[in-house]
Amino acid sequence: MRKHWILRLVAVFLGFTLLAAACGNDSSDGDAVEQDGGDTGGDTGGDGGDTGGDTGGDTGGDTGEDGGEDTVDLVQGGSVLAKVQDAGVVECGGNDTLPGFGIVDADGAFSGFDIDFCGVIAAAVLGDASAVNVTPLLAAQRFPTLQSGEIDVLIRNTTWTASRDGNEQANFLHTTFYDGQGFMVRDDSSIATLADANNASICVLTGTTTLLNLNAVLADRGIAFTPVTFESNDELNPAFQAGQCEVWTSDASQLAAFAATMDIPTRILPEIISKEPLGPVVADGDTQWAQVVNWATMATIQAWEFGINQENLSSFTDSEDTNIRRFLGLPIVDGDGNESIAEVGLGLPTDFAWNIIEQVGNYEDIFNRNLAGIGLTLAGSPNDLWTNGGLQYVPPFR
Amino acid sequence: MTGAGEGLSADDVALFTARAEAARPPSQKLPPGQWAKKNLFDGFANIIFTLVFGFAGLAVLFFLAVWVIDADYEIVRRNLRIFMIGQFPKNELWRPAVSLLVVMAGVGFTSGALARNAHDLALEQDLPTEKSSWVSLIRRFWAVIAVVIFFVSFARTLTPYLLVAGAFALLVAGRELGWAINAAVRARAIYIGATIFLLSMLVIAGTSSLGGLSLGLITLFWVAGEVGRRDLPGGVVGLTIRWGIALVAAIVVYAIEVAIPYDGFGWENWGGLHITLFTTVLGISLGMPFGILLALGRKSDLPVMKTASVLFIEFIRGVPLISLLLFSNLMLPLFLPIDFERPADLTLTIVVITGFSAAYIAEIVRGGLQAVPKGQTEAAQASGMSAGSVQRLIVLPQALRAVIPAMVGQFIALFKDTTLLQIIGILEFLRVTDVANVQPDFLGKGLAPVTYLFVALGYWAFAYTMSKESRRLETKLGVGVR
Repeated sequence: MRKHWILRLVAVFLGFTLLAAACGNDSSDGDAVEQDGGDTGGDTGGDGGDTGGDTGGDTGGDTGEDGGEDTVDLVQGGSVLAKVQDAGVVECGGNDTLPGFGIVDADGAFSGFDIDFCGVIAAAVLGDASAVNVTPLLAAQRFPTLQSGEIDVLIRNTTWTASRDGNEQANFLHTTFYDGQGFMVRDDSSIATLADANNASICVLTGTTTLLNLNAVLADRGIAFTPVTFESNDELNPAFQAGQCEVWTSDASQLAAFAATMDIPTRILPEIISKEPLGPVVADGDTQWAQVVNWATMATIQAWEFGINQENLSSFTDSEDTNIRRFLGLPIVDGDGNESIAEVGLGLPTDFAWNIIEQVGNYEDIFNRNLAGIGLTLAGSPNDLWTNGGLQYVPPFR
Repeated sequence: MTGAGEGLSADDVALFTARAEAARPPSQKLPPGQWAKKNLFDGFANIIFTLVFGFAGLAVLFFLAVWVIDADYEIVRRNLRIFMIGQFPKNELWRPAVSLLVVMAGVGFTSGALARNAHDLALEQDLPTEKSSWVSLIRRFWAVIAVVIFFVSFARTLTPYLLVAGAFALLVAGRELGWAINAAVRARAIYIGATIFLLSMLVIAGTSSLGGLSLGLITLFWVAGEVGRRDLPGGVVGLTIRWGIALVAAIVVYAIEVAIPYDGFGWENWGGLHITLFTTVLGISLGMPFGILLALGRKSDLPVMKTASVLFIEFIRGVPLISLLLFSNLMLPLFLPIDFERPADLTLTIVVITGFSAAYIAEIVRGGLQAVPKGQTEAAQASGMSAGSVQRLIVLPQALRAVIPAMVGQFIALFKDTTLLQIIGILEFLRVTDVANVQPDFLGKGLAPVTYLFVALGYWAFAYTMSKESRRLETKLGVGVR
């Protein structure tokens, strides 16, 4: 009798384990790491989930097929574009604790660089930039939430990596912000380049990609250092200002944000030791929706390249430039005198770019509104236009 | 001795009290000077200890006070609304305001009616009793009152002051009404209170099938109770009539609620202290009955009940709350059919928190059940009571009385566990500190301690009051006194 009972319990337990193993997939193992990174990612920027993707890769690999089926189901359920048009709102996964990119202001509204791009998509698809519902997500939540179809697009300082593209059924679109891990020192420090930092003490957040990168890169270059680790930037910031460490390493965007709040002058070293391209992400398998999000995002950069911004938009109604007229959805007169409005077949209204610029602005507007305030400059950074030597380059709109 | 049914006479009570007084050792209350000499300054070692620790303590208090007074509270002032109710849209603020007023009136009414019921019962049995004065109530709940006033003092407009004043006024009025109203209404105070609480939620959330279901559930038990007061045929027929009528009433209420077109703000938009208190209240009030049922189920002789209870309790207790929350939030949607409307995060969370607290409460109650001597059950059975009555009238009152401290400990733990809601992206009270500290005006200003202090006071006031009330209840019920 007793033995019988135990056997039955073991069977039930095994059943549970199997169930958990089958469905838990990468989120149970890989994301445990990712979550650590993610917590700090909230404070430090795009670095957060990055390791998660890499470490989660192995575990994610063998369960990829399960997830693949889910995605197929999703697509059969109809295009996200139709769903969004039907619901009249874009469900956007964002961040609520990342300075400059996604925060909650004192009125309780979301604001930030990433949040504005949610508005860009809503303005393009629905003609109303405020038709956005932002769901704040932790690093560990973002891919499962995207897969489950709860959010239509994920714009939450998520670094584009191969393992994520491969394992998370995620489709990474045009990079909106090129970030990277940098180093900050006090202005009066003798450290001018990373090589001078030999035997220096370096402040870093524990449990993040930042720390892993730091260990790997400095070991490669034969630079000895003492890591001084902290749980959050709230502890790290005063420690750095008090001189407990000579160098602070984090994402360059976040270093700039904190430098802007400090009373002491600081410098950022020229070396950037990692690539962190951040941009919108949609679920795999829905090409139409991916194109819509991609072109809405890229329209902000195209507008910038054309020199169209929120203020001067109305002056372009009588522009002579055919490219600009086509881009803004204005009537074009062809050689025979026929008027027509360009239709590029993306599933977007013809005036989508106009709506974006009118309601949210071009890339430069969005950047300056959210990131200039936290001490980031656009000119000369990787996020500058390709014509100015930056990396922002979009395919032609024709 | 008089029989229990005839009640005790006032003389008996006086006699018992006198005997009890005589049996106690004489009180040793010394005047402050002598007390200090006896406890703090007797002997060289004690004097040194007193001076060293006294000065250290005073120094810590002094520097803390200086810091608290010097701190810049602008971050709290600007974010007060987020701390209280999260990201609620500005033009919809009347909803939580009305809800607060309704719920305070309901709390006042229910507590007044229940206090009066207890008062009348005591009078009936000639036990000493009196209406609690407002002074004694303020003394009991001073921590919450003080913290509420402290919180409101950060408001930059008049409305929050008026709202809190109105809420207090309704609380007082509700309590007086509950005390004064006739006995027939008072007997239904619990149902009325639960209905008011639900309506206060629906003011914010609007009508929904979930709201209808909850109202229907209250109706079911309420109507079943009402019908049960009438003379019904015994046995299965009576039961069928009773629950049949109740079920029909519940379905009607559900249908009416669902049919009313009143839109609101779904609770996925709720946040701040509101969500913290709300989840705690629901977790406790739903978890406790469920937990008691689980405890009885575990002690039951029916193998299916027993196995199900044991499996549930041991599974939940064997898994951290955080993993249950993550599972419900991240994994469950992957199992659901694609066109199935996903329940709101908070709905799933409340289910998880209720189940979690139920499993722990079940084990606490089981401990209490084991403390009730077997003779009690046997005597009750021998006097012809039904199995249900034995549990309800004899065993459970004794068992629950014995486990009050552990139970309240569990409630306090649950209250503090609601901070875990932040890992599934819910902006609960503690998480607001993170959100406020990254706003451009406050970023890098090192204001986290200020916000933490503010939040800690909130948690402390409620946890301290719960613990204080539990000790009061213990004294009242004579736990630990033999």
